[in-house]
Amino acid sequence: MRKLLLLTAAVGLFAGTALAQGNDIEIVFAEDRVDHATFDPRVTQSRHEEQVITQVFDQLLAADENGTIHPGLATEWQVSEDGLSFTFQLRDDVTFHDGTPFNAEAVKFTFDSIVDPDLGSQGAVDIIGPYASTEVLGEHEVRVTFSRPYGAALGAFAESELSIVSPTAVESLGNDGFAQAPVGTGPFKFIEWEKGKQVVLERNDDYNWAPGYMNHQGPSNVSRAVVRFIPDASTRVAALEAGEVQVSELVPALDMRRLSSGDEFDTIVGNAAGLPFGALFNTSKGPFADKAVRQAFMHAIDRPRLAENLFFGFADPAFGPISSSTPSYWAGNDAYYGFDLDKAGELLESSGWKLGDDGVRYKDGEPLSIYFPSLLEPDTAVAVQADVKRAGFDVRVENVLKARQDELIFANDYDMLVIRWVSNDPGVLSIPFHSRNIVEPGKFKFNWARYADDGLDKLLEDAESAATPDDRDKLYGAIQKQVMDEGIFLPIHNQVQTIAHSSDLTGFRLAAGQWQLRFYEVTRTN
Amino acid sequence: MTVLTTLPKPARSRFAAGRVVRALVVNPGALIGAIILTALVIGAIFAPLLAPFELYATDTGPRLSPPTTGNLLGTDLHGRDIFSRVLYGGRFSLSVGIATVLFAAVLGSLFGVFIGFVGGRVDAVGSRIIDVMFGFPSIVLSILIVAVLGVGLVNVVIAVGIADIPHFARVVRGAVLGAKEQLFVEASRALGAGDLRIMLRHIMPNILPTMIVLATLNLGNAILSTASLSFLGLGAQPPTPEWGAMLSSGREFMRYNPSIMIFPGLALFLAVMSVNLLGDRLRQVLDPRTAD
Amino acid sequence: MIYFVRRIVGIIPVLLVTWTLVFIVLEIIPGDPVNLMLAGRPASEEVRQRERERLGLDKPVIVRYGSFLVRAVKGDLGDSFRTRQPVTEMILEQLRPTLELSAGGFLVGVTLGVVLGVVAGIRPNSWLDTSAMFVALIGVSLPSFWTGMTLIFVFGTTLRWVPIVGDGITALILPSITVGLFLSGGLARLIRSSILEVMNQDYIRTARAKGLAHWVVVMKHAMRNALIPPVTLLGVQFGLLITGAVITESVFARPGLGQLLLQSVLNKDIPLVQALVVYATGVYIVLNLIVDLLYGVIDPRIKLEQAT
Repeated sequence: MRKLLLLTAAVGLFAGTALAQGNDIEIVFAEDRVDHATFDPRVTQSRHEEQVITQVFDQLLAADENGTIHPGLATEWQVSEDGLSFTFQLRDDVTFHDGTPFNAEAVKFTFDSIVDPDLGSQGAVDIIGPYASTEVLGEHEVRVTFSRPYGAALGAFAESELSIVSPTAVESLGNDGFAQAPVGTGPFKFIEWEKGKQVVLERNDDYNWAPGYMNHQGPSNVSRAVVRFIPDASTRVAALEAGEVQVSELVPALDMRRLSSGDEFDTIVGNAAGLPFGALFNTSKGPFADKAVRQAFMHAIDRPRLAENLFFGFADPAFGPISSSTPSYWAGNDAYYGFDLDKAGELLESSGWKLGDDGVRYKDGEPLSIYFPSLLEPDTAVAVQADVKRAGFDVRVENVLKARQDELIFANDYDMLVIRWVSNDPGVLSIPFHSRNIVEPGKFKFNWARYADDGLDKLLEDAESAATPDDRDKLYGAIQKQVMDEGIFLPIHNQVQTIAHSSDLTGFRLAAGQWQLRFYEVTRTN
Repeated sequence: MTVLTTLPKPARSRFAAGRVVRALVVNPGALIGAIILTALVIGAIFAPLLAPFELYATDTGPRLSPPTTGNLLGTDLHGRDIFSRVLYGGRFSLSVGIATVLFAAVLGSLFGVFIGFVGGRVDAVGSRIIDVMFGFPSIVLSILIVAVLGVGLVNVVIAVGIADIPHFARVVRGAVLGAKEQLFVEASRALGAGDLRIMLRHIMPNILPTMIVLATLNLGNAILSTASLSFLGLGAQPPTPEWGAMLSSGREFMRYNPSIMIFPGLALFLAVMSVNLLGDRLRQVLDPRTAD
Repeated sequence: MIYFVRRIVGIIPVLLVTWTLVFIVLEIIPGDPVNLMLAGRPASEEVRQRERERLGLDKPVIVRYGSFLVRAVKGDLGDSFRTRQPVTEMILEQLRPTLELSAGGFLVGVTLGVVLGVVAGIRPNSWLDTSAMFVALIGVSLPSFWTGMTLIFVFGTTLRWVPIVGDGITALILPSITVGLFLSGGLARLIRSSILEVMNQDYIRTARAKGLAHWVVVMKHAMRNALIPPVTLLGVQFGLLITGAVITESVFARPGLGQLLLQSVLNKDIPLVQALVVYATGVYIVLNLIVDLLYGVIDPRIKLEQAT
């Protein structure tokens, strides 16, 4: 699958020379969601919103699809000896879509606004870490300082959440207006957002600052790109086959198999780094307050079979708290919680859960009932429900939407919740496992396991500021081991982004994290 | 008793069971409707005996299999037997429809009696509410109510039931007003609290046929509306084999196994159609006044 | 003229009752509006307090109720919790696709309904009548989400006769049929019975006695009068159209008010829900008023006073 991806990239090599004939490509991308709220990179935490943001914005550093860092809007950078400050030399030939120049002031403005609570940042505010300040050293030179060492800083500067925004546009439109009509320096200009239908992008004709790793320079061959919202997967595929869209994301596995076997379409599979698709057990109350019950639940699920059944070979089962494609993945994860119904039964017996006549286990007259509000992948929830039933769990699945889930999270009214997170950095582990991220009234965070352990907190903090890659690996390894030992997270399957596109186009490239698709290098084949 | 004797005879005995059944049987449409509905109801009631597989059984055969001898209507993504699920589905889809109509009929009647009996301003405001609710998009109202109560089949019953109230309230109010006028004129005296009982006794046989017709005609809609809400994800939750929910989750696999879409949809369509056929005929037989 | 004034003044209590109900319903929706407003954004207690004040949540219920009514009258119903855009603007953005769908569905529904109803009504109890009424029965019994999905699968995915998500008039065909089928059944029945009733009127009997051909009688004399009662139903059809829009837009992935409503309720975007319901009642009530007045215009025999 990875091969396909490299292949498409390689064919795009000579795209630049074909500019004269092939520079009028119009593509329509079928996107899974309709309920986008903002296209401000500083605010979003939605991978779907970032699909548009990726095309419209550039970052100080550029990460390729494998997470390797390259120069971006900054040509060079130096790290201070204490590891607290980063000095960037900026390109001097870059302009925003509104014609204003990109400079050190814009960088300072962007970063300062992210930490301003008035903006209401959801994603960037975490990614910018222990940010302290930005100093303008010259028109094209800035120094960004953190309040403590931040090992993930370089990666963070390449994340789309830390895209540089046009201060002029933000000031004239206001934060809320900017979210509707973002202005960046990227290869595409944001033209129009028809709510509930599509976002229209047009080529930035001035674009001449593509990161060096790309196979194309100068303005894109794609003159117009439409991101069309089609939430139903079978409709997306039908529209692709009818030629109404040229490329679709989240193509169902069976369709991927069928489309890739013909000539008309090519497929790309992104193996997203970060948290795999999995579930956090609520350790603060109910049956899952007992570690043995959590472990029994995991032993009762045949993950390889489940992944095969649901994804027909397109997604691998997951075994650790981060996916195996994430840096610092700990190989020890794979040995945990293999499918073993007997083991599950023993663990439950030892905790006093006895099998009743109805196949459900009981303890003190109470059934082993698990409330599982499920925001994503209803079929996965059904498969989990059916698997653990054999061990005597009675799982009550409720398909919920985000607003309902938020409400349940605040009310601490759930036994398990699904989570997934695209990130190139193992630092993502802090998001669901650090005790500072336990939800409190008015503080929405992601430690839905409600797990608090000083030792784990310390490990997470140390790992974040680890100086050498070896230290990092060691610390993140220890973190993963503890999460697995404690059984607070059920890894289910790796997140896959399944893309199918018309085979007369090539040059689609996944962004870092392997979820969003870049349109910039797209060209016609032959 | 004196009052009652002076009243016109409480409706000619239209509601004679034997006559109704005969009238239904001789009408081919109603007969077909009755047969289909009986089949679906029997399938639902005796699902545990008739269905080849258990309610929540997975891996009953190959996944996404077309109809075979092992799985008469094929299987879904989880290898669940579609035939069994359609049979069991009737238990949810049909009973939810019936519960909805009962809910609406009871609350609607109470409301109708209340405003009709109290009269005056209460009646004026109440009638206004009925008017507004009547044409107001019922799905909007239902979705709004589900937002308050939360998702689930029970809440869907309440939501669609509330949206259905005006149909019953209007008829009952009319009947109460009519009866009140008659009593007032003929008994030449104001009504007291004790008279409510007398009045109800008088109007009940009168409006019962109308209520039965209304309930039947509303049942088709209730089944459709509740299934629609389940389709939108607001009703039945997995793994409940409610027909609307089955259609919603099977959509992605339509092209790989069309029976996932065909059979729950067909069951839903047949249920609604048979109820409508019966309702039409019942209306002709029981309640010619409303036969428009 | 007095009638007009009375009719218009009569709207006020209806609006008041509906808006009050909306206010109450949204008051009892569970969940802290500030949490919803901040949509998971991290916020200090200070920010939350500021939001509470901005949303007027620190005021007593009765004050909020009053200000809601005032804003409803002025058509200024605040900003969406999710997108922070003025809700009126969001609704206007989604108006066009829903109007198109409604117009298409209405066209299909009325055409089919009238044809079926007339065919059935001309020769009652013939095989034509039975067949037409059977088609009408299918129309009211088909779950529209199932119809929609089947139409997409057959004519879009398999036959590729029509675009699946495209723009323009061809993309409107399948959704219009989905909504139209739903409408046509009830309409056909109504027209049929209306024709039957008219055919029994004295003037029709007179016309017949004069020896005019059956179809001439039907077309020239009966039709005009027979179509009047169904016109009154147009107001009620509005509800069906919106219901059709919610389901159909969802099945066909079309933008529009139905989707907006569904999303706003599911996302608990309270100002947006409020605004949608306030406008929907407004439109519904005005439509009914127009229909009532039209009824008097089309059929002068009916005294306006009776129409109240």
